[in-house]
Amino acid sequence: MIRLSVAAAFLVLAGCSRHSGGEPARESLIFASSGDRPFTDAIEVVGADGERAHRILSPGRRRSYLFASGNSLRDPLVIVVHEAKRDDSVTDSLYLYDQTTAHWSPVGDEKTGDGAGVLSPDGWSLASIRGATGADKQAGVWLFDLQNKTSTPLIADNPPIHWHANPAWRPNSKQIGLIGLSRGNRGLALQFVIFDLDSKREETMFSPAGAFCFSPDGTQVGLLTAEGIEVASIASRERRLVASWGALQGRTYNSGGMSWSRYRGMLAIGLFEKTSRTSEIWTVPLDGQAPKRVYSSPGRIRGLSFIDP
Amino acid sequence: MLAQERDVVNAKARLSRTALKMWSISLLFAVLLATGCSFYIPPIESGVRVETVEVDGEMQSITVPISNANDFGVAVVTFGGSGAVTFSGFTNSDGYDDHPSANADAEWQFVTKFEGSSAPNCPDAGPVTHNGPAQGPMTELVQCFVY
Repeated sequence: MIRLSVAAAFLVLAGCSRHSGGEPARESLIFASSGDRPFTDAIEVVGADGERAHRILSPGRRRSYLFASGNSLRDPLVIVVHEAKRDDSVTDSLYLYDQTTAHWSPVGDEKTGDGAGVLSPDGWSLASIRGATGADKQAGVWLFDLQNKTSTPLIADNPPIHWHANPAWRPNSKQIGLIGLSRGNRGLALQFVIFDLDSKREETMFSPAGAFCFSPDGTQVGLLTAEGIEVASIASRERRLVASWGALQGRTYNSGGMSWSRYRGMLAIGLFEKTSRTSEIWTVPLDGQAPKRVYSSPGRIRGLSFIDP
Repeated sequence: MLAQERDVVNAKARLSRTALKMWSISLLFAVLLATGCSFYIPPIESGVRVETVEVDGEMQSITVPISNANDFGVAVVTFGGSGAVTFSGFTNSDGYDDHPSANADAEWQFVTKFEGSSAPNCPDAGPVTHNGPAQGPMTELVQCFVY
């Protein structure tokens, strides 16, 4: 009896209980922290309030990690591995990484120019960006079926005229949000677009927009615009400003990532502070409270997103 | 009787010496653990990273990585260290091109060309000269402003 009580107390203290509704004890933020030398890029995890920062993947001498995403730290993560070969050629390849078993499995057949990849919320598919540097030069958005291990092109990119970046799944697992980049007479234009997997059609939702994140129910979207951070309804396209650039003075956005908490009414965004040249994580409450800097790091934060424990 | 007492004293002394040894080893382990003195392999201290970004003309607080920019480097003076004294390559979709074998402890001249990149209208950059530190950061950041 005593032994059972001790074991139960230990499990509670160690936080081994599974989430069963409401806010899990430790919703975290995952991101890549890029260094200022070759192969110094790590994957880090930090608590939603900036606490318990730690690396989950540290760089080696000729291997580092440029991007990470996932639905839960217990499930496989999608990682972009940046690696130097013996002849000094450098490749970027997508892998699934299981933290519990430390097992790596390659995703798809591209072995040079992979970019960011994200797992669908239902865990069946992976949407990723292939750069124009790939062996077959098939730049664009690709879908990888994790069951059949097959890759399908979704959108063909044609940089520098039109291309895509920063994929993120809408929670229904049927649509993918992207930043669409196009270059015209007025220079580079950044837009938030939604690609529908059933109709295979892409729709421009908001322009200009440099970053976005879906709300947990998929009805709204957080946007980084010329005004600042806005929240918009996808159906009505009504938008409201939740934090102006004035509240984020001295900061720029360098692909830091933007994410909407599943359990708290707030967004998180990775920004770059120009004077001290440090990267920062800011949380932006949706109830009108002021945004708050919760974490700063000398590394360049990229691809920030909330993740379950 | 005396011999027995001497044996007991010796045994006690041996016991206390063993306990002291054990305590010392435990202390050593504790110190090693506390100071994080594990088998840490430091990251690579040489090499040059070139990063190319474009500042968005419409929202000037946003930068976008430039992929496929063609970067070149020549070490015109080397101060120490070892490694390659020239490099060339193309930036990836994050705007990075890493040259892990380049000798960072040198005076480097960098040239970046944007024809064929995701920002072909950017004017070619360089040659610009920067000194690399013996150890530590060596990133050549090339920013492009096209309005």
